[in-house]
Amino acid sequence: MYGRYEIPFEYSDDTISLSITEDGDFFRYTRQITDDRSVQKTLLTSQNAVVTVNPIEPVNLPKNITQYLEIEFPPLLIEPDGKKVIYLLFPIEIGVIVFGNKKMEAVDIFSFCPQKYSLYGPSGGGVITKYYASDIFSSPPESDRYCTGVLRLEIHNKTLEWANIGRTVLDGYSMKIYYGPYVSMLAHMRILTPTTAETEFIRNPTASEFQKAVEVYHTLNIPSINRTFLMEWGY
Amino acid sequence: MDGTINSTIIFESPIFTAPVYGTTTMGDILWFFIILVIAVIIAKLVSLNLSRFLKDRVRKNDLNLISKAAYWVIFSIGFLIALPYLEVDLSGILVAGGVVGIIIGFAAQSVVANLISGIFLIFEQPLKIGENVLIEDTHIIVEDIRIFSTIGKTFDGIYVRIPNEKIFTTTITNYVANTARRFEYNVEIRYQDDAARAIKIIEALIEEEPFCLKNPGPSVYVDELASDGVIIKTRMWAPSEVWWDIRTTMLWKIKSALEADGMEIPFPQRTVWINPDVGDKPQTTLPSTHQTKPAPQKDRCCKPSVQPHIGRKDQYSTTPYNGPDEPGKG
Repeated sequence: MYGRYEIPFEYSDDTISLSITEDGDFFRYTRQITDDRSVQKTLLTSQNAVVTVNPIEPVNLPKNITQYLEIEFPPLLIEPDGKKVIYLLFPIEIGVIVFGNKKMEAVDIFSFCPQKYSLYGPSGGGVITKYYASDIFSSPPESDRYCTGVLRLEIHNKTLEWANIGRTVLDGYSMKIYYGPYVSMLAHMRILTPTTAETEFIRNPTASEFQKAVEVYHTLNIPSINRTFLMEWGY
Repeated sequence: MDGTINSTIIFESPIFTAPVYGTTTMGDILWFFIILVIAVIIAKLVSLNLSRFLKDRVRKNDLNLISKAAYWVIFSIGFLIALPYLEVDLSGILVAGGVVGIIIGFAAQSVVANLISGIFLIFEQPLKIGENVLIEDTHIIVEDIRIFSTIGKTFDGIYVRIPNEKIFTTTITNYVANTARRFEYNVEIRYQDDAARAIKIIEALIEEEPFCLKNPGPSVYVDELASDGVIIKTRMWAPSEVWWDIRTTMLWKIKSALEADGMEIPFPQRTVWINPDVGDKPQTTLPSTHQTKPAPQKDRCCKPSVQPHIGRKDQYSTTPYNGPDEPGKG
């Protein structure tokens, strides 16, 4: 399903069918998930428009109320100045993005994953996060590429004490999602103090066969400046 | 002199020390203008920085008003400082200004109070545009924060203007200032229903609802053994942005889920015994004395069983009756 299509196009498999069909001067977008009601939208565009279907930042559904993704995992201890890599699962949202006249717009966003929100920090000053609970893996786990992706999280404990970590919070504005055999993201988590940590995405794919997904959230792409999130209310 | 010019010598030269008008010298006039120029520069700097600082905080019209007011206040102070160089006696002006100030102060007391309050509100920001707030007894959605007043709209769509002084001096309850907020329900079930199972059903529903926050988690527990049933307190957190939507939908979901599991919300019920001769013995007065088979619980709950009045009026009492399922009854 993931990939780039020229309109009109049709895609169908066991779980989903997507199509953009020509209807006079219009184009009709239709999404039908098994046993679910179909979603239809009308596009007013030229035939030069291109559609990309790929995983996008998983912070849009069911309502766009946050830009942060929180992944909670069974607590782990990391030694002082330790640097380890763990793998986590994260939820996927799939975006159907149309490009016309060099501008893009998400026509449809859907997910096969259950949704849940949480609060990171205090109710006054904290942030709402899209929540997902994952196990910890030492190597990339099996994942359903329509439902969950694999996050490679490199943890660096910069403190002089053992650190007990049970979650990571990531900023959707700097997410770099890649898809190939599975959907993947790479991120750093630096433990700065006993209560604070910093997370940051890495702009590299897991392997060369992975392709970069089109992002819905945009920031100024200044290569030397990486956007980080400071987890100031514990980890 | 080695090419440099000593400014002291210039100001002490006869051109600057010779009086040109009364005892005012050219040097005094020069100082007057130097102070004015400095005052203008400071006023412009303050005005410009104030405009930049408040750019995103206040409306454009108010921003102009504030920056101009700051400019003229600073310029006036500079002017008053410079005036004595022209041999102007400020004591007369100050006395007159004081009197005028008192008059204007009394006349424009509320206007000034609103203005000052507005400025403090802009800095303190206890409320922002679009927020849902309770100001004293008025519940509004803030639409505009102006320099003298705050404009809002009630949930009925009615325009409300509140003077800033009132907002500044009264209690403001901001319902959405915090990221998340909690709400609660009292869910009542019958005594014969399984409270532990009801709690599990409610917790599962909360877990399914995306906007009921994972952290802080919900709290569901038996809160009270009330006269008509068991009260289960259900507390949950939701993002402030969608709080009301969740608050209005979850209660019915809970009710539907409990009913689907065979539980019922009890109706208020009261059994009245009227048995003056035998005494207050429930066995002889309860509905079980009827020869017919007891009706289902839900029918009974709706209709309090009332025994016919026999005997003296002052010999009857009331006690809760929990329906035919109550042990030893029915």
